Amino acid sequence: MRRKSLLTLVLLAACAGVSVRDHVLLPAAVLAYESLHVEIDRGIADGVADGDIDQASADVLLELADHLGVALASGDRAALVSAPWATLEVFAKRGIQDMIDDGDISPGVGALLMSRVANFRDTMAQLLLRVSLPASGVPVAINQGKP
Amino acid sequence: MNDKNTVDDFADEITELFDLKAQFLELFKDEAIAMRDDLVGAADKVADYSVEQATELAALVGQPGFAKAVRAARDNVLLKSGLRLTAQADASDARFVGLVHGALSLGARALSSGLV
Repeated sequence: MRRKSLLTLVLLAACAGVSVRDHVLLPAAVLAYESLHVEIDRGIADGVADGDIDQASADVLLELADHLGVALASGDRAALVSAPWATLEVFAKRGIQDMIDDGDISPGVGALLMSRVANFRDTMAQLLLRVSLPASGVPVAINQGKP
Repeated sequence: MNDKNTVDDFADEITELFDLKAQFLELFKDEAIAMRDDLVGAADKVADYSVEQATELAALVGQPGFAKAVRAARDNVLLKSGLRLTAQADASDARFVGLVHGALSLGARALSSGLV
């Protein structure tokens, strides 16, 4: 019986990579992005207010932010690849800094929010890495095995 | 050393060497134990990070935006857990590939000996 349990554990672990990215990493990213989206929007608004970006560029950025949210929620890996997190990250940080500057949050709270941005960046890197390279290291087509 | 003992010892060695079932199970057992240990290690690291986030939160009580900090701490723990588990899962997948390789090697050795 014990041997069967061990065998089952090993066999379950064989698909651990796929399972974790689909059932742990992605949902965590979706949840975190709900707040990050607000920070990105704030950063974009601050950029417009300060004259650093025009309204047309802001509209494009807002659309990209929505696009990333949809991509995460749907788990569409092709959409994730095309979502420019690096660009949006700049505005997430700017939004947090704007909240600090306006006194909406303390610098300590801002630091915690910044650490979420960093964790989300690492998560996105992992998700994007797995789009093209599964745990076996063999490149596969995007959305392979998915409807 | 008498002849009987020598023959028995040799028979034992042959039995052990080519008892594929026993060897496969031994492989599975070793890998399962290693995976369990890795999982425990990953869980410990996530627990440590949770404590770290809770400590940071405690220092922020009463400050503007505390509710946002609570949510950020929750997200941080979830994201970090995901990252840790992902690394763990990769290690497990790699182990499984090694396990299959080991099992195939055992089978190949038995086949080449003509005993299977």
